[in-house]
Amino acid sequence: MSDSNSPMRRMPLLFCLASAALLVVYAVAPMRDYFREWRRFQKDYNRLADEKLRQNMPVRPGPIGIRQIWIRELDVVDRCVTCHLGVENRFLRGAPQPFGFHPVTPHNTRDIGCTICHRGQGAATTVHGAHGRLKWWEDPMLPGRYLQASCGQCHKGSEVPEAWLLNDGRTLIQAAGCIGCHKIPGYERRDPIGPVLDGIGSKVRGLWLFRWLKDPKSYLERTFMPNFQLSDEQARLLTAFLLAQKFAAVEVSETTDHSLADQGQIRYREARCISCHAQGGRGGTFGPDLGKVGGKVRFGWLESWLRNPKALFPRTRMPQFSFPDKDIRAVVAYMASEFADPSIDGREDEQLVRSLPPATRENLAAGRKLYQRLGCGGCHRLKGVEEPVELGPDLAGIGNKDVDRLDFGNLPVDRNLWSWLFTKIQTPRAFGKTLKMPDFHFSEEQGREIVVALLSLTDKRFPARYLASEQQAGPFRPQGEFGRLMAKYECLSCHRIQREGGKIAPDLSIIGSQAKPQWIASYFRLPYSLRPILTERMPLLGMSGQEIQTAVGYFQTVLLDDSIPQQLFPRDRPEAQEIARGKELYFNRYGCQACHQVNVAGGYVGPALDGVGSRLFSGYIFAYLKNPQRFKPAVPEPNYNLNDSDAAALAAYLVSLPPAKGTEGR
Amino acid sequence: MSVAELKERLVGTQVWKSVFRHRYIDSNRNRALTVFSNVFLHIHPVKIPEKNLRFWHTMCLGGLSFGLFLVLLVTGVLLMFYYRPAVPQAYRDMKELEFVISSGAFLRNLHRWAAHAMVVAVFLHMARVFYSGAYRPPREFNWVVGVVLLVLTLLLSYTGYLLPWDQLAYWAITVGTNMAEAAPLIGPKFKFLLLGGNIIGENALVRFYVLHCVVLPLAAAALLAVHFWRVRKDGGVRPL
Amino acid sequence: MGDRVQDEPDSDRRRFLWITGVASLSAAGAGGAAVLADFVHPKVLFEPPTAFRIGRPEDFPVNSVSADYDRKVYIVRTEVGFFALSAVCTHLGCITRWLEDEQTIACPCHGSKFGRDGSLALGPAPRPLRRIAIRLEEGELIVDTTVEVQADTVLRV
Repeated sequence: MSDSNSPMRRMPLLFCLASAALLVVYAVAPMRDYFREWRRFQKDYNRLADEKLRQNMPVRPGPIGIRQIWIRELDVVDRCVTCHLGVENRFLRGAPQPFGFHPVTPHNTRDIGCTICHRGQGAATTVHGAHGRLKWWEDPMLPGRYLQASCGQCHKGSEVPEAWLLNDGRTLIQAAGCIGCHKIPGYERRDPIGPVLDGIGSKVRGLWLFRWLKDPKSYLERTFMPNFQLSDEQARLLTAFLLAQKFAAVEVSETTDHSLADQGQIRYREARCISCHAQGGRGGTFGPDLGKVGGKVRFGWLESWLRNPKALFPRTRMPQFSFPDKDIRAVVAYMASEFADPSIDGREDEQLVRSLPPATRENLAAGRKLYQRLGCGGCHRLKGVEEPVELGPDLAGIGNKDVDRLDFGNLPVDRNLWSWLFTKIQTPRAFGKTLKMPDFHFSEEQGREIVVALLSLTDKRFPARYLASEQQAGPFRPQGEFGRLMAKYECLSCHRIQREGGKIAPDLSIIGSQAKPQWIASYFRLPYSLRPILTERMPLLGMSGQEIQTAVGYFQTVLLDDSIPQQLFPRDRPEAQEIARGKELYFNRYGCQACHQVNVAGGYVGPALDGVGSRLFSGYIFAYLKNPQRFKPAVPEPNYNLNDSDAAALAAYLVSLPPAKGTEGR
Repeated sequence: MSVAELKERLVGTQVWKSVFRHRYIDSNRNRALTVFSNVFLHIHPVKIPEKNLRFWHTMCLGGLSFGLFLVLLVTGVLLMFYYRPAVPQAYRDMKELEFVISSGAFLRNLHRWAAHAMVVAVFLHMARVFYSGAYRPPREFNWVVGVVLLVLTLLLSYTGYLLPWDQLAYWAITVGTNMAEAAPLIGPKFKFLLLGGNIIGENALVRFYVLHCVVLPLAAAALLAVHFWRVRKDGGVRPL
Repeated sequence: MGDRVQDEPDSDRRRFLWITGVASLSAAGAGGAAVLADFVHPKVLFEPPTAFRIGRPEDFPVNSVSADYDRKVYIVRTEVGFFALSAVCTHLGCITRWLEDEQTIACPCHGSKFGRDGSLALGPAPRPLRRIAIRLEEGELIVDTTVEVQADTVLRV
């Protein structure tokens, strides 16, 4: 037995070592548990809370333990609050992370948790794991600059006032015509966004078209027409194909009578074309910049266009001005001389047109094929080439697409979804030479907005009661005489009525309760700006007296808010003592003169108030003073929570103000 | 009262005597009785020739395999406290073990590594038996039992693979069941029954869970008893 | 044979190894038991919260008993104010029902009956219903079922 080779001899040593090893292994597990990150954070928080308590702030230390928000319906288990302990305590605003107060949002973490908006891994209790920065976790936390995307998951169709990037991104997606090539949930393919190309050969000059196809931004900075990076040969082929598309009705003329230019200038000014069309960057941004339009269009076409825009392009937002023919010729003459493009001269134009491939049947077929291959039909309509276009991938679920399914090529781009999307939008062919998407030259800001809108297109499903309900009311489509009038003058290009229409001019939904009919009628006859600093002004449409009557009548009977009385005072004449009290309130109590002018004295932030009583109903002034944001949600005018008698006194003073000198005649 | 007295009193009690029926007085008879009358010990031989204990005869591979089996049994039972074999919960329960439950990750890792180690140990055990010729009569039956145990070990490992319900699990089982499908005649039916359907879904998860936690361990435990018992009956481990 | 160990020349070393081994093993065993106990102790609960918002004071008419059986609580409003009663019977934990016609709270399991203030009226239940904490915070009533209060506590609103 004492044989030194006996296995029994080594037993005590083996036993001792094995037991010690077991002890070590057993010690590791509880130690790891004890030294978890979140415990340290909670201890730090309790120290912070003690300190705040000493400063008499209600921040209470809590027991050490994992905290979670559990919402069964949404399948949310978010343990973010294990470390982010101060999210609900506004006394911790600005406290060091992870203890800071969550900015106030329309939704509460208790109701929807954290990861619905921020993404990441809610179940995790480590910093790395919870923020989702793990190799195979498919849903990493969204960076703050893209966070607004999350609103769009439930607010699918409706606008979210708090998420301006999302709204702008969605508008951009619509405006830039992304749905021309991509199927995008929530976007219906309506009419194409670009102009109809029927008769384009009668409209534009060859050289302009060639240059335009090569680089649209060089002519018009703000255009949504993308750059397809065409070769000269391709551009020539396409130019030849498009120039062959002619209008029979339009006279192909490139001459004009320059002697009429002075008269045309007067008409051009009177019509306030500059409200919508800028000239070399100055002026309105609603229509295209006309700075170099003289080099673009053929004048024969321009005449037909001014006579009746809708005849050439039925969906244009340009109103039809009621000019006599003589004036139209004069305006064209003015535009030809004023907006000439020195870079396009006739000889060069001729040269180019000669260099184009001849309009043989083969060449036209090749041009047509190129037109289809590029997907021009996504944005433009052209007779004879009307097959639907769907070149790009369906974008449903792009908002949480697995990053491993994206092709990054070998670009030095961060391997995450938003960086990929941003790069794709900024430089669409960066990930591969053979990609088809053209370059829209979006600014970085626009790129970010589009990424936000795209990131909202997740395939997550939420119970119906969490989804923002769509607006049920149908679109505003007036019938009859007023409907025809609105179509002719394209009121909704700028104005908004019942959530329909543009946003650059005031909302007219309750105009009948706001403005007096006499004033509206005089305004139609000669519009002027209430705020002189604005560039977009109401154009002089040249409406007939009959038309003005129709519009005003419609306002006074339909576009009303029944909660607003028209007249606040008997016979609309307030008593002198009421006026005096209002004046006192105006100048001394509320200091309205800081922003508004009366008789050339006061601030410039708000409009001048001279003669406001002849413009607005006293009832509306009263209601507006009580709560300005009710009528104009973004107006800077403060809500003073006026009581009825103060508001009435102020209204009395305001309606008593005489019109400013020199405007009497209007 | 001294420790020795305390011990004497404890050993004298009725309870002690009921459990340990023979005092360890070192005589051959007593030794044999001690082993025979204890359910846990009786599987051991009463006597082992010392040279049989030499490490290089067995390299302890059988014992190691059994030890790992016990580790797997204990950790597996503990994991069952928190694991639910259902599609919405299975993966989440893995996360709970990782992030919330004290020592959860430790036990799960222990279970996983022990499972890998057991496959290796059983395989090496088989190789050792083969190379030392220990499959020859009279041990040929035990060799067969051993081979079945190896298959059971592999099946235990394989069925456990699906339970985390992650991508690795899903695709591993996809590949594995398609291999089973390739078996002639019964293949497609076998796959259908194994998955409880045509796809890897709720049914498959429950079936794999029951196989992993109940059927296969019971079968393995029964065969292990046979295996050990035959080792004794075939004359223990003997150098050639 | 039994004293063989003592015959070994290096028996001190052996003794040391055995003692260390046994000590480590015991420590590991004890530690293992502790780890096990910690393991089976759940760290998060997927249960409804014990403190919750129940509504605004104006949601409850004066002189009314409002039952929330999901949360197992009655909100009683008297002319004086509010109090909250646990709907769990003090007998064997069944959920009681408010019988508007009889103006009593009755237990369906063994027939215990309680008054609208929770007082024991009849039956095997040994005690009146638990009166639990209710408080007003930012215009909302908050009930905490884990906190029991005196039987005459009323929240004046």
